[in-house]
Amino acid sequence: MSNTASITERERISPPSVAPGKGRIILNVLGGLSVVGKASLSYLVLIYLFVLVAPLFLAHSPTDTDPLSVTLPASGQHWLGTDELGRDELARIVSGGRITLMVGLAAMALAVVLGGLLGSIAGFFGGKTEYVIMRLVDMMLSIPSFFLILIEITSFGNSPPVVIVAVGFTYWPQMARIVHAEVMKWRDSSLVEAETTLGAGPWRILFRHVVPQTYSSIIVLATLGIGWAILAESGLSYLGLGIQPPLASWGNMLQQSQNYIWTAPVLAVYPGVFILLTVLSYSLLGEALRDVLDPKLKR
Amino acid sequence: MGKKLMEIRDLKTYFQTKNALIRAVDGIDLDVEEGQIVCIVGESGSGKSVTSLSIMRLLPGPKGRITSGEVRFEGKDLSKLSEKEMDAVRGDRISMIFQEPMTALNPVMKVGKQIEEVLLRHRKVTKSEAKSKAIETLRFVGVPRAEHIVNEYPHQLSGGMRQRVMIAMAMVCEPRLLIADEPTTALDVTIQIQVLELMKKMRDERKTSIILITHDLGVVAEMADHVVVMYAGQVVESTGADAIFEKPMHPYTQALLASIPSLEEDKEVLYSIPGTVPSAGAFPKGCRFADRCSSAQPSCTEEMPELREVLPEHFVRCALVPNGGAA
Amino acid sequence: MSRYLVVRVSQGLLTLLLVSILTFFLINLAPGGPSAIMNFQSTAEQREALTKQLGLDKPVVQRYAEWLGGAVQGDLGNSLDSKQPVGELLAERFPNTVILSAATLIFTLMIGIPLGVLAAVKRGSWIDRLITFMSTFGMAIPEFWLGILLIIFFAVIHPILPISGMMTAGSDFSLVDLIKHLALPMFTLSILMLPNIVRFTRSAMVDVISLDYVRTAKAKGLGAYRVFFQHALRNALVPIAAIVGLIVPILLGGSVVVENVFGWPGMGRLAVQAATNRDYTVVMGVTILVGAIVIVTNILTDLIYTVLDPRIRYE
Repeated sequence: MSNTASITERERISPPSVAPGKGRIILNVLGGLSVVGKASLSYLVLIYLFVLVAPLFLAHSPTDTDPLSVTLPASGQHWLGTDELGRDELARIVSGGRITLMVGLAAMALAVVLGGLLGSIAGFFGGKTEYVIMRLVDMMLSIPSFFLILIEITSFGNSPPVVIVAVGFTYWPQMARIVHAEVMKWRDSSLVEAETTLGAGPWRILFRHVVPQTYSSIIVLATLGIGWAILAESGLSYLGLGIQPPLASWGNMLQQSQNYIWTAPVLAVYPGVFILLTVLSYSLLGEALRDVLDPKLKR
Repeated sequence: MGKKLMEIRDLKTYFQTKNALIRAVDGIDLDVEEGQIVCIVGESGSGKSVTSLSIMRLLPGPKGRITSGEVRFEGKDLSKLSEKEMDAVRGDRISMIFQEPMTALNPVMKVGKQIEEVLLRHRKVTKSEAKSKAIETLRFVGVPRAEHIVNEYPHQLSGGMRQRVMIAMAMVCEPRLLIADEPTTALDVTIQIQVLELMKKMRDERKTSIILITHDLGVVAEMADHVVVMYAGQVVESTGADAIFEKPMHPYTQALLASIPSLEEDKEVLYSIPGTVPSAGAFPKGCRFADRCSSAQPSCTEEMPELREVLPEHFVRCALVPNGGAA
Repeated sequence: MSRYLVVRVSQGLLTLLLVSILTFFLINLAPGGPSAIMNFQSTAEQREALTKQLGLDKPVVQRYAEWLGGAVQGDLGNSLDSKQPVGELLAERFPNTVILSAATLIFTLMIGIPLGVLAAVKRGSWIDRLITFMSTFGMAIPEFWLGILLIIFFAVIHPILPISGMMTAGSDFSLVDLIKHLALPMFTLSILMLPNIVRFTRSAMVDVISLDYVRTAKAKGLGAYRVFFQHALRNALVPIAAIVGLIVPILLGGSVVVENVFGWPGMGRLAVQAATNRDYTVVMGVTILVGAIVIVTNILTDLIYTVLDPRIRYE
C-alpha cells in the first residue's frame, strides 16, 4: 500500500473531532458555554492572572512581619488589613492563592496522567492487565478519599510536592474508571479495526486515535476535580497536614485565623471567600463544559 | 332516552411545545347518559386518550391544558374546579382504569392497601371497614382468595388479576362514571372477555356509566350503547351502536369497519386506510381526513365541515353526506 | 438470602485484607519509611533501640504477617505516640464519631429529601433552580470555613452555642448539653452532604413522577401530599438508599475535618493527630475501621433494598 493512500484512508476514518483545527474546536466549545459557564471561566482566568501578576505591584511582602501593626483593619496602607503577625493580608492572599491554585492544578495534572494512562491501558488491552488495574481502582475507591490522603501524608510527610502527589494520587482512580469505560467502548470499534488493517501498532492506535475520543470526559472530570483538589489541599492545610507555615496557603491561613476569631474575625473571611469562589467556579464551569461536550449527560 | 350524567361541550386541550401548538383535542362534544356505555373509537393520535385525561384533569405537566370548553358533570363544570375540589371527584364520583395494569399499580404497596386508601380518602370508614370492603370488592370483580390477595404485591399477580385489582380500585367507591382507557389491550383474549363482562356487570348491577376508549371495533360491538368516532382531535361521527355498524356514514368510519376481519365474508385482502393521521401540530385547513379519503372532492380541502345531525341522533362531520343520510 | 450474605461478607473481608496490604506497604515502603517517624534529635543508639523494639529490622512481609496475625485477634498494635493499644484508642473515640455522623445523617435526610422532592415536583420553576443552585453552592463551601464562620456568628457575635468539645467541662452528662454541642458540627457536616442528597432525590423523583402508578394515585383523588410522598417518594427511596450507601464515606471524611474545627473528640481528631505525629499504627487502625464501616454500610444498603422494594430478592 502506498504512503499517500494510507494517509487519505486515515483521514476518512478518523473521527470528525480532529478534522477542524484545534483552535477552532476550543473556540466553539468556549462559545457554546452557558452564561454561568462563561462567567466562571472569566473569574478563573482573572484569579490566576491576579495571583501571578499582583506580586509585581504589591507594596508589601507576604512574609514581612511587623509586631507594631498586628491585626490592623483595612486601610489605604493595607487594603485588607494585616494578620496576627502584622503581615499584609492582601499579599498573603496572593501568595497563598498561588500555592493553593498551583497545587490544585498540579495534583489534577497528576491524576489525569496517571488515571488516563492506567484507565486507557486497562480499557484497551483488557485481560489480566485490565483485571489488575481495575481491582486496584476498586480497592482505592473503597477507602474514603480523605483517609487515603491521611495515609499518604503519614507515609511521606508533608512537603508541598507530597501534598500534590497525595491529592492527585487519591483522584486518579476516579479518572481511571471513566477513561476505562470510554476506551472500552472503542476497543472493538471499526476505527480500531481499520487502523489495525492499515498496520498501525496498538500503542499508536490507542494514543493517536482512541484516547482523543475520551478528551471530553477527561476535561469535564478534571475541571470538576481541580475544584475538589483545591478543597482537599485547603482542608489538609487547615488541619496542619498540608502546606506548612511560613509558606501561606488559603487553607493554613484559615487555621491560623481560627485562633484570632475574637480579635480579628475578618481574617477568617478572606481566604474562605476565595476558596469558595474558586471551587464554585470550577464546578459551574465543569457542568457547563459537560453540557457543551456531552449533551446526552444533561439532566 | 336516559338522564344526562355528563355533557362535554366544545372541549379543547392544547399542548404548547417549543416549536408548535399541538391541538390534541380540538373542540369535541360528548354526552354520557346514566347507565350508558359510550365507546370512543379512533387510531392512536386521534385524541381519545387526551379526552379522557382532560375529563380527569390528569394532563401531564404544565405543557398540556384545557384551553376552552366545559365538562359538565353533576351540575359542576369540572374544567373550572380547583385542584382540591377535583380531588374530591376523582376516585369517588369518577374513576379511571388504565391500559397497562403492569405499571399502573404501585409496585411497592400491597394491593389491599391500594384499594383501601381510596375508601379512606373519600369515605368516613375505619381501617378494618376499609379492608373488609376491599376484600368484598375484590370478590365482586372475581378475584379468588381475595382475603389473601390483599396482602400481596402487584408483581405477584398475573396481568388479568392486576386489571381486576385496578377495576376493584376504581369501583370501590361506587362511582357514577368509569373511564376505561384501553383496559383490555394488554391482556390475553380470554381475559379480555372476562374483564369486559365485569364492566358490563358494573353497569348492570351498579348503574355505573362507562366511557370506554378503544381502537378495537370488536370491543365496541360487544359493549357500546353509543359510539363516538374520533379523528385528528375531532368527533367525526357519533350515534347509537347499531347505527354505526349498520349505516356508517362518515368515510373514515366506513374505512375503519372495512378494515376489520369478518367471519362471514371471506375477503381476500383486508382493507387498510392509506396514509397517516395528520400531525396535530399542523392540521390542514379543510377536512382533516380529506387526503386519505377515497371519495374526497376538491372542495373538501377548502372548508372544515361541521358536525351535523343528518338523522335523528346521528351526527356526522362530512360535507358529502346529505341531510337524511343517503350517501 | 443467607448464602448471598455469606458471599457479600467474604467479599468484604477480602477487600479489607487488600486495603490493609495497600496501606501497610504504602507506609512501610515509603522513602524513609516508618523510620522517618523517629525524632531526628534522638541519638543513633536510641534509634537503633526503637528500630528493634518496633521490629523494623525484620523484612516488611514478615512484619505485615505479624500485624495481620494480631489484627485477626483484635490486636492492632500500640500507638507509637501514647503507647496505648490502638484498639483501645479506637473504642474510646469511635462512639463519638458515630453520634456526630448518625445525627448528621438523620438531619440531612430530614431536610434533603423534602427539598429534593420539592425541586422535582416543581421541576423547571424558580424554586427548582434555587434549590439546584444552592446545592452547587453547598458543594463548593469548604466545610472548615463554614465551621469557622458559624463559630464567629454563634460564639463571637451572638454567644449562644458552645464551640468546642462534646459537653461542658466538669458538668454531668445531659442530653440538652450534648445537643447544644452537637448543633454546630452537625450543621456544618450536613452542608457537606445535603447537596448530594438533594440532587439525588430530585433526579430519582423526576424519574418516578412521570410513571403510570403516580398517575393512578392522582386518579384516585389522593391529593398532592399523598401522591408525592406516599406513592412517588416511597418508590424513589430505593435509589435514594443507594446514595446513602455512597455518602457514608463522604460523611466519614468530612467528619475528620469537622471534628477538628469543633474539637469533637472523635476518630477524625485521632486520625489527624496520628498523621501529624506520623503515628502509623493508629492511622492504619483508623483506616481499617473506616474501610470496615464502608463495607458494612454497603451490605446494609443491599438489605435495605429488600425492605424498600418487595420485588428485590437475593438468591
